[in-house]
Amino acid sequence: MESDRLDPREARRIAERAEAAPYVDYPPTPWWYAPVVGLWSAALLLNLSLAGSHTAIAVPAILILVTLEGAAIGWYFRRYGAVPSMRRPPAEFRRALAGYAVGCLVVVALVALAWHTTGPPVAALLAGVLVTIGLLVYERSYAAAARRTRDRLA
Amino acid sequence: MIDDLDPVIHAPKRLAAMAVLSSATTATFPFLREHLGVSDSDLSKQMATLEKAGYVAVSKSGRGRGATTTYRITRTGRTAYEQHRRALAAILDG
Repeated sequence: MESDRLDPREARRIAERAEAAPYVDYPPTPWWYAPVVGLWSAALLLNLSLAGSHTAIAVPAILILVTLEGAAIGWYFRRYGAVPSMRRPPAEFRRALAGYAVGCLVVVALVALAWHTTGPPVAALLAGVLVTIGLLVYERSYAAAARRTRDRLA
Repeated sequence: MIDDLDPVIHAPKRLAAMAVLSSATTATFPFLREHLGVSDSDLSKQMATLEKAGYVAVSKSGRGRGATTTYRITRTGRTAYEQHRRALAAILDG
């Protein structure tokens, strides 16, 4: 069995770095990720609006979009290797994660408002744009938090 | 206080593996290997020890080159890891 005479201070350092690893050790996000998710959101919203009147087209389209989402989640898990549980993220990530939660609420509220005032096509377009921009902003905020965490634990 | 340290977890490589798994939903074999900086056989040995203790669960998917081995921490493992971290904190912070 491996030696268990590890210095407690060194043990804590190893634990802190490893606990942060799922948050900070990740491959670069491809440039197309945000626009593709934006397009996906717009397509889903548009098809949901058509589900009542054009069922034969909209329902299969929604099923395809949901299947694509499942495939994307599988790809994400394989690519990232370790997906953060978000149980106790490093302190540096609090702002980025809070911003993400608030951003989601704002996007939903604005898209819902657009849906009721101008109709589904404009709401879908708005969803596509806002999701793309929101993800780009989140990505930058997350990367900055990861950098700060890596610096602290270096 | 030293007695509260879990000998299965206190070994550096297993401590690092448990720490990664404590903050991830799952972690793949390659991710753990890269983070721990160990060989395939060494990681397999360390993870087998943790699995035998009931601290991690392993799942395998796919076949051949596309096969993926994934680990997740069990409830017993999480309890043991958190206890170990508390013991470390008690030693260092008094």
